[in-house]
Amino acid sequence: MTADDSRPDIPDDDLLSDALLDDLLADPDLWAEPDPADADAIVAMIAAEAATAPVADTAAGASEPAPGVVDFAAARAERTERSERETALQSAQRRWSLGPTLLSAAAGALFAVLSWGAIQAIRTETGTELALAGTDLAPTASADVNVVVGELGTRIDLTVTGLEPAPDGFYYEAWLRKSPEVGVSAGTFHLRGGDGEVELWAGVDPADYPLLTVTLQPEAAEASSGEVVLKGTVEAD
Amino acid sequence: MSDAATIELGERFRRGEEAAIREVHARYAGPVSTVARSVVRDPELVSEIVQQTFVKAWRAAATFEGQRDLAPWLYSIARRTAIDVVRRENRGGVTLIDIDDVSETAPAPGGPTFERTWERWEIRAAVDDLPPGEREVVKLQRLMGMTHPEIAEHLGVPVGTVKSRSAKAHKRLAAALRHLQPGADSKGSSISANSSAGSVVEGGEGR
Repeated sequence: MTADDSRPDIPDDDLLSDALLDDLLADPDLWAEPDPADADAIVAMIAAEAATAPVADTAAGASEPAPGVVDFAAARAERTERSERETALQSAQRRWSLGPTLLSAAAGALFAVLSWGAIQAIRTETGTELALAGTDLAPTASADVNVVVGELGTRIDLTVTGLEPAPDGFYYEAWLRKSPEVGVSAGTFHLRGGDGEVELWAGVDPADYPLLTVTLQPEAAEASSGEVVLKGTVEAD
Repeated sequence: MSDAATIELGERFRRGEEAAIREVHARYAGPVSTVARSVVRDPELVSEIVQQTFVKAWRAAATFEGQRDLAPWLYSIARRTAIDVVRRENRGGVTLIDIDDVSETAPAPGGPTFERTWERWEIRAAVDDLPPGEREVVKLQRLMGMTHPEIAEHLGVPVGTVKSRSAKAHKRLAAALRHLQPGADSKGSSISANSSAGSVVEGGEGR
């Protein structure tokens, strides 16, 4: 290595002090990439919050939203009327009067708002209950689940029976998924104390991520192993 | 991105356009993440801070002046969100850092100061603004400690290309970060502890 090769060609009188720049540019935290799933979570949270916000700013005769703009005011108004109808999702589909351009550009947020409404219809004060069935990898396993969507996130109370304790070097991981390829971890556990209750939290809404799975993970894994041992769907009756 | 484009992006974000929310996230998630990582280590907490920052920004968007740069405003929200998360975690018995030492006006031993985290934000933003090829060279050089010949071998390009990209990248960084030099006059993109951006965060989160 020569001095010319190891030092960038920086005009010393034209930059930060070298010590500060060297220090910060050599810090791995400065280069760490944010979680790509954050954007979906942010859009979903904003859409859900917009749908639950007060309707005070929804004026009669409001103009149509510009193409590509999610009409949150319309979403809030929609939610109010939706509660008076038999099926929230059908109601929302009737009420939304968005053109094809808007539907295409705002598909993500629109899906979040409408799906949230559908799930809301079956929520109770104590949450949404469902059952998970064991897969071929754990045929004797099952779990009763209560899903509560709150201000802090989605709490998943998992009561597991018949699932073997995770072997050394492995653990179980719960996932909320919108598809087999796209999911968000809801936490990990091992059950080495035997069957019991596990409290899990996820930062996404099951309206957007309705498939709940539990996988067996090796400790070195950074993504889902695909070894699903339990699965179920958070959906309306 | 030009000033006009930045302002337009801010306006679209303020209106709640989903594409703008994603664009603002794509543009500023790196600097927000850098601020978060300066005060917490847990990746889940970093992710929480990033998500909450953009949600809080959207909540407060009605108070955002569309003609202003989004960066100082988002920075203030990110930093306040990070502090809130640290305080919450510390109350739970998990001491991350002594956030009371994170003064906005005085340096704190071992802790991020207001000025320090803003510098990290600015440097991350400048690095993210580099063309991908130049950014990669700077990363390999500065983070990995690789020489020009090592980078050339790693990327499969001539050494001259590496040197050219490195020189261009550092000139861009020099131009973008000139105002952070000791003794340099503050410019429009710099921020003070008493800036209005902070007051937006304090008073603008309710809905």
